[in-house]
Amino acid sequence: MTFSKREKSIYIELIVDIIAAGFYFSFLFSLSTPIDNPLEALGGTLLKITVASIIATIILHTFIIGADPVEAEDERDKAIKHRSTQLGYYALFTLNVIIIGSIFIDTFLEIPGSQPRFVALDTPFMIANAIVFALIAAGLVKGVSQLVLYRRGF
Amino acid sequence: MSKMPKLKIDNSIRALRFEAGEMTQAELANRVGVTRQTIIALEQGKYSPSLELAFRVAQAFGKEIGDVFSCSV
Repeated sequence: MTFSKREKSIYIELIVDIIAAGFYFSFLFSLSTPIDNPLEALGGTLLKITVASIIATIILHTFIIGADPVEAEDERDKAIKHRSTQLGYYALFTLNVIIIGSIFIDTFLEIPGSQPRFVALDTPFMIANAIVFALIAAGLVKGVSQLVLYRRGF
Repeated sequence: MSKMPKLKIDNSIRALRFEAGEMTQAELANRVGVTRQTIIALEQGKYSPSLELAFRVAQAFGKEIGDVFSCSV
């Protein structure tokens, strides 16, 4: 099975994003709760992960794709990008509805006998991270659907 | 509005390339302004081109659009 440069590029970005998100959220869950000072707790981790993922993307592009740039987008590439962006938007929308719904339930409704959840969205820090998760998940949906559409046809 | 059945668009690009002195996919892609992957997808029936691209492909072979593309239900 051969892959075009564009598909390889999407694979690289997808893998780097998954690894970076894995590092970030595993670090986040390793922090002791409650987190009094989020900036201090996170330290430079977020910055380090961002810089490392940019460097990793450049290195992987150079070794896997080579020095030649990825060819310019044609109408099929644009059609696939539009469709996958649409699917990514649905994922982002759904996750945001879940996040907002969760916050509303926690704020305005007290359900008797309800158990504490694995991740309680009870602080701005946790809400911000839930939104970060939604953004990353939507990006993954977009990338995976692009790869599927390139293979399956569109 | 009633739901229309999906049309399957077939083409004879591969045969026409052969007739045109074994024109390569890359050459055709260059002539019509798309990537080689799009020509491969067209030949495999994995992509239905825009009307503009369909005309450009037909022009590249000096044919009418109906000579290159056909559809079936």
